[in-house]
Amino acid sequence: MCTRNPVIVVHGGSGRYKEEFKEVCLLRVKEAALQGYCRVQQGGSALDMVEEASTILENDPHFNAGCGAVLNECGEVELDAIIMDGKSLDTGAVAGVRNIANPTKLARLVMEKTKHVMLSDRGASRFAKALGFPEVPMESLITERSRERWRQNLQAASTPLDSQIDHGTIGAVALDTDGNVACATSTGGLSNTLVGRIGDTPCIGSGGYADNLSGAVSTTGKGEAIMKMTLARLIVFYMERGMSPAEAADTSLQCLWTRLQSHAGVIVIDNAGDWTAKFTTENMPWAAVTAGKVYYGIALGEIRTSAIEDICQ
Amino acid sequence: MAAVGTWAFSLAAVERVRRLMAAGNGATHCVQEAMAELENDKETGCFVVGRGGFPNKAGVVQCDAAIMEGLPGRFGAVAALPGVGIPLTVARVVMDKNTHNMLVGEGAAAFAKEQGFSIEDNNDMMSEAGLDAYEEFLENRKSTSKNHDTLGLIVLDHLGNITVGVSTSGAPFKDPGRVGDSPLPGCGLYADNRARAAAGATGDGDKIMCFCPSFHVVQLMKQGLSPADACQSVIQDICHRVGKKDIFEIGLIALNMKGEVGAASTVSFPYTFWARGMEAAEQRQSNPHTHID
Repeated sequence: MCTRNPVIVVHGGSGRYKEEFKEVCLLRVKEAALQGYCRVQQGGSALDMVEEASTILENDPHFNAGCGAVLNECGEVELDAIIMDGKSLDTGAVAGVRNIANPTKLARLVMEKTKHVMLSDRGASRFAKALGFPEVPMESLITERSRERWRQNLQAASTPLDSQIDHGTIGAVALDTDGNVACATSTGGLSNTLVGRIGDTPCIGSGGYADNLSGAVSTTGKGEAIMKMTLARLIVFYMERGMSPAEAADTSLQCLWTRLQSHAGVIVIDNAGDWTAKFTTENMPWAAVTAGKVYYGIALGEIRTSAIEDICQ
Repeated sequence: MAAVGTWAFSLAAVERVRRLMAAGNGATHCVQEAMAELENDKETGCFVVGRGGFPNKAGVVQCDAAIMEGLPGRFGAVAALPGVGIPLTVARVVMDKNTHNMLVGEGAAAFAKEQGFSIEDNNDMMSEAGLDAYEEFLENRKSTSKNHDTLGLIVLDHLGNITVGVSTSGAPFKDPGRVGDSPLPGCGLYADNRARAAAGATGDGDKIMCFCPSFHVVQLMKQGLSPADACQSVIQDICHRVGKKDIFEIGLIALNMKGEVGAASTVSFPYTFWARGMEAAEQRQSNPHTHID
């Protein structure tokens, strides 16, 4: 059996980042990609790789996922996440879940322990409790930055969406040595939204999609627009028809702009290990690790490279 | 002008659409009104829709519903919504507000209340049949119900606008908070203005959603396939992928801007249809796909 070169691509959310956050977000995304890659060196699967990378970024307060997530209109953290196995198309998702630090891990348990795909709201919390999944005080997930953003958005003339241009969803796609692909996406949603608002992230085909027959995708951007295009499934559809990840990503992002005047970012991998990170916003911190190298960038057109040192112990 | 609905019980809805369109109403209004009548009727709850539908594992009726317009691509959905007998109408209000696409659980209920809907006691959402089935489930700790129905309706109006709506009370005795395929764009429903087409899926939601079949049917129609061929192709694809042993229940309907209809399924799947020129809506049948590798 041919053993593939494993690949992982990770993103930290598309938007326009303030100068003071660019380098730290890029560094953290790069670290998450490297750690996700280490999982396959330890015998992990594509699912393990994307779960690892997503969990690291959920635990990092710089990103709109897990700790550091934006707050809904009541000042609360509600989290969405999805994880999908390209081999079986099995999927797990949680939507509007509270008091959970790592919704990607919980989504994986939904996939593995129930016959359902998505659990939401109190049902998701009830499931977590039944499994003994750790619950955390909501306060532990709220950062001063998120709280300040929430406070500013309470002003009558505020524009919550515009003010959130630098604080996005996180995600990962991976190919393991067995040739399986997987994706994961995780978010705190949009700041100051209605309680119970769900965006694209936990919706299969919108926030992410993975199929061994073609590849895997994770998306970031304005959820309402991404959902109407089922952006992740659209990209996989184009790959099914022979497009490369880059062509499929470009074509789909162009469709999104033409149809809905919306910008977004995507990371895409195909089942042969070809990958891309594309975005039509100013920035998206991303990193890819494969064949002894790490590639990363945050500005349009930027690709930095370095060799991987022996970081997987 | 045309309309198509899932399962035999949609006949009343498609007939209502015919009369509403004769009075000059547009696609979205027709979908909402026709579906509300069926959703709110406890008697049709046994078809896993709205009031009278099957409760979740904790005995609470939680509904999923969504509506999508081909032009200009507006979408609204509610999921795990308790206490409202016309969830599709709430989804329509979400769509009209156009700030968000989807609201879930208690947030959805809070929004509905704010918009003037009553959040009713769960007892008023349950039917006797639903209660009996739930008690049987509690005794046996497993569902003997094979119901995976769901109401899907696609309407093409006199202006060439296409709207699709889907409503369900979800898998009987599901885990609380479970969201199935119905309210997810690309899964339970999809509409696109360029294909001017839509598709509604019904059956085992947890299995269906992994294929995003409604999106797939619409993409194939965009590439020139008829609604019938597009549905057939997607079902064939799924059967081939899953294999005979693991095949699950799925039925698809589709409609294009010419008013041509299509349906395909892995089970015997009646659907109802009306197009301009027909005196009344009629029931048709999709037979289970047989060429499984």
